[in-house]
Order: sequence, then C-alpha cells, then structure tokens
Amino acid sequence: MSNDLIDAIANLEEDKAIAIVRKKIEDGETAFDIVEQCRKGVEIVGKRYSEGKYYLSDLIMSEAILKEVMTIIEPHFPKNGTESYNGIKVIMGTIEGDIHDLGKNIVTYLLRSSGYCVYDLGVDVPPEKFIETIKQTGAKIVGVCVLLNFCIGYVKELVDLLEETGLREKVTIVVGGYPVDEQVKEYTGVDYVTNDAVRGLEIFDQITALCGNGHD
Amino acid sequence: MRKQPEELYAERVKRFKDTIELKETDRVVVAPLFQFFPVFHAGYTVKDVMYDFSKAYNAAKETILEFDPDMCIGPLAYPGKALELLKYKLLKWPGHGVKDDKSYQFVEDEYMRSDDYDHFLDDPSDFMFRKYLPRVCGALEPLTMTTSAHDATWLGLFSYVAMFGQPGVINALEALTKAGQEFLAWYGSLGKFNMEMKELGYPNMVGGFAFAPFDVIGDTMRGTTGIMLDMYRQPDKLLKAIEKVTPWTIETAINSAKAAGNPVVMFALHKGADGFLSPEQYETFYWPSLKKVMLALIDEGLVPFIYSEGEYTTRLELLADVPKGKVIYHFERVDIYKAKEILGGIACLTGNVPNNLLYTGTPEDVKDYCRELIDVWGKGGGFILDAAAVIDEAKAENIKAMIDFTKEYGVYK
Repeated sequence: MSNDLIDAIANLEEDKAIAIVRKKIEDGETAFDIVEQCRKGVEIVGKRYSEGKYYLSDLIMSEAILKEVMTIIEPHFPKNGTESYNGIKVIMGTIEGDIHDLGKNIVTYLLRSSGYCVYDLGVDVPPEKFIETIKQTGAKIVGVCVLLNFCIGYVKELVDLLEETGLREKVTIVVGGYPVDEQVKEYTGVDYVTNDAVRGLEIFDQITALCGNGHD
Repeated sequence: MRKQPEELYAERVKRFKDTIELKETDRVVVAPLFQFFPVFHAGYTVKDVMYDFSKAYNAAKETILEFDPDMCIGPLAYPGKALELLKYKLLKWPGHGVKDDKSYQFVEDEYMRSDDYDHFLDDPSDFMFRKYLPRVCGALEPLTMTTSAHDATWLGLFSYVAMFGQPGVINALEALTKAGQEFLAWYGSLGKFNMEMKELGYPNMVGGFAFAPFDVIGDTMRGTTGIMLDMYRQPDKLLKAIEKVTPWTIETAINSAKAAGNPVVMFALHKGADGFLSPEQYETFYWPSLKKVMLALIDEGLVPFIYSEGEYTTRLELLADVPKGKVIYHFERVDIYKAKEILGGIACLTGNVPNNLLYTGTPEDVKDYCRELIDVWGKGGGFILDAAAVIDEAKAENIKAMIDFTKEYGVYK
C-alpha cells in the first residue's frame, strides 16, 4: 500500500487527495483499502494536533477533505446483492449533548466500506432516538460515540432505557471515543468499549461472527 | 468627610485614565465586568430581566452600590421581546431553547454560504438585506421576495416598490418596526443607566462595542467551520471580505463610542485564540485588520479594549506592536509573567481571575489569586483587576473579597 493518499490527507492537500482517490478507484483498489488509508491520514492529523503542530483550523480542514473524498468513494461501497455486502445492520450515533462527529464518521465509513448497512443518526442523539431506530430497523448492533466526559451519563441512560423496553438482550452496544475505558464500560453497562477505530471494526466483525444476525 | 458622588466620579475617571496611560496611581483599579451576576444576586432569572428592563436595570445598579467597584457596566441582558419579534436565530435564550435561569447560547451556522462571497463583495448592503437578514431572522424571511434596489430607476422603481406590497413583506416590515421600537426602548434604558450611575459616582467601563474584522465574518456570517475552510479554499475572497468590513468596523466603533460619550470600545475576540489558528494564519488573516482598527481608533482619541477569550499567550508579541499607553488588553487565560514581560510598559492589562474560582472557591482562595496578580501585573501600574470572563455565577462573598482586597492590597506605596 503506497503512502501517497495518507500523506496528501495528513498534509491537508485537498486537490491532490481527491485526484489520488479517483486514480485508485480507476485502478481497482477496494473501497475499504482507500478508506483505511484515509483513516491513517486523519490519524496523523490528530497526532500533529496533539503535538501542537496543527491547529483547530487544520482539524476542520482534514475533516472537510475526508467528507469530500468519501462522496467520491461512497458509490463504490459494497452494494446489496454483491459478495462483499454483508448487510448487517448497525446503528451509529454520537450521544446526546455531544456534537463530535469525526470519530463516528470514520467508523461509519469503515463499516460501510466493509459491507455493513449503517444507519447514521448523526450527533447529539437522545437515547430515545436510538431505541426508536432499533425498533424500526431491527438492527442488533448499536455504535455510540462519546467524546465529552459529562455525556457518559446519557450512554448509561440509553442502557437503562434498553432494559426498560426489553430490548437490552437483543442488541449489542459498542461505545467508542477518547474518554472511554473499562471503568466507563462497567459504569454504563455496555458490551464493548474502544478508543481505536480499527479495533472498533474488529469488534463489529467479532460480534457479527458470534451472532451472525440482524442483516437483510 | 464622606466624598460627594461627583468628586468620586472624577477621582475614578482619573484613576482609570492614568492606569490606561500606564502612570502609577494611588492604587490598582478594580472593575469586574458583570453579566448575569447582579441578576442572580437579586434573585431574578435571566428570563425575568430579558423581558423587564427595569429588573435588569435595578439589579445592575444594586450590585454596583453594594459591592462598590471603581467602574460600572450596564445591564448586559438583551431585549427578549425584540428577539422574539424578529424570530432571531443566532441565539437560544430563556423560553427559546434554554432554561429560565441560564445565559444565552450562540447558534452557529453558515448564515453566509461559501458561494455568497461574490454577492457580498459586489453589493454588501443588498446581500445583507435580501439574504443575510432573512437567514438570521425568521420574521424577515419574506425579504427574499424583494428585488435589488439597484433596479429602482424610472419604471424600475414601480416594480421595485411593488415587491413591498406583498403580504409576507408587509409582515416582515411590521416585525422590523415593532422590534425597532423595542430596541430603542432598550437603548434608552441603557442610556438612563449610564446617567444615573454617573450621578452616583460610577463611570461606565465600556462605551462602545465592536468586533475584530475576522470575527465579523467568522462569528455570525461564515461560522467557525466556514471561515476556517475559507482560509484553505478561498483565501483571496476571505481577505477581500475582511478588507471590506474593516472600515465599517472602524465606523461602528467610533459611532458607538460617540453615542455613549465614552472613549472605551470593547472588542470581544473569538476565533484568533491560541490553538484555533496557526501563527501564520493569525498573522495573515486575523491581526493586520484588527491592528488597523485599533490604530484608527487611537487616532480618534478612543481606547481599544481588547477582550480576548480563550488562551492568548502565543499572540503576545504581536499585541505589543501598538502605541504605548493607548490600549487595554483583557485576558481570559494567559501566562501572566510573559504577558507582563512583553506588554508591560506598552498596554494596560486586565482579566485573568478565574470565574470558576469566583464560583467554587473561598474568599481566601480569591484573595490569594488576586495577590499574585497584583504583585505581577500591578507592578509599576497599568493594571485593572477583573475576572477572566464576564461574571455570571459567583459567590457574593468572593466578589466582595475580590473588590475589597484589591482596594486594600493594591495600594501603590
């Protein structure tokens, strides 16, 4: 795998990144591989930000590049009826009170490019909205993104609400985000926690292998 | 003998003026910028004072009389009825998205879109009237049904005026006149407040309000995301827009200071904080126009009161490039030693007492913090003691400690 796309994204070169993505698609690289390179580029941006080399403006630009690039790749995600489409339904959303969407978007892109059927509820999603979507779609996996510590309470609220509505046993909840750890898992009562997108994808694949249900 | 209010007023104005000019005075000025503290202290909610100017007025006045700082600040509660009439979208306020006892929340969006630059640069008033106002005020949405006034010549005038006869436009104009009356009453109340406080011996800390040109575009037009992306995607247009609004900012600042009869113009700085822009971006997009505005105001005999929000340590060297004794720099968070080292002898310093300390700390904690700040920033003059940000929630005993302690410890021997 060459580093040209990773570097273009890491260096915030929008036009270059777009041109490379178009070329890769032409050359037959899989959507998943391209998304994975984008993720690596964005990861470098995050690292440079935490080292004080990049600023908020750079983070915003990297996110905009990612969105642009994804509009080009999205038509090439595995489609229903093709071999690489597994159709497993996943509900994704950033929890109430929190409007961070980069992490959620990256995981959503990774999942879609791996053949999952993702219902993206966006950011600042109240627990009730998750419940409603579970009922509507019959999805068995829920991915919740949380970045702000004070929003972790809403994740617990979601779990409590699942218990109350009798849905808890039917769904697996994966929580992703910077502040989450085993303690958060215990406190909220969710099934999995991770602060790494790739590990997140592994968890989704693992759940699917274990349960193998919830798809079209 | 107890001093008369007029004597106290003159004394306070002189102390304030000398402090700005970096002359050593009898003591450090203490001037907390209150926002909703007086309201909560009086037992009111934010909603109460947004819908009843007299409550806002009395709360602000009572707080000044009770705590006796050197300077006062007018009631900073926006008129709720006017915002309602306009269906104003830039804020959430009590009854409109936030609880009755909570301060406003700013609603950011791209009210000016990325492809609006040409319209804005070509014909800004037309853009504001027919695109911007309808987007930020729900009640003014029908103004999109009007046509541009540059067609209003000869027979074109007939068809231009005809657009104002449409029922939707009539409603919009009605909302505009009613909201206008509300704002006039509100400004009247603020003017009356200044007069009464002057009679009671308290000068107002702030005359006019204006914004840094970059923030004019970034805060309420393009939004944070929009303006950040413009720096990469259309830097020339952004720079042209900043250049365009710079003389307007100067005009607004001068007019508002003149209307208030007070030379201090406050600029709340938002998007240039440390971490937001790279040093190169700050030097290219943010600082040159702000500096131009500051120098123009200084030329007019006015005092730029630069109220930085967020951390500002990495910008200090640039801020030092202004004439001596003409500017007030307010910091929320900054390395206080570096700030004194770089700006001491150039500009008056203020701010920095953490608002959470005023809310959760004890009077002793507050005194300890103020002592250090007076020792560092007060040395040799040019220092006004104030909280890091406008004061909402705070313990009354901490406000009292901050003011009384400064008067006692901040004396120049």
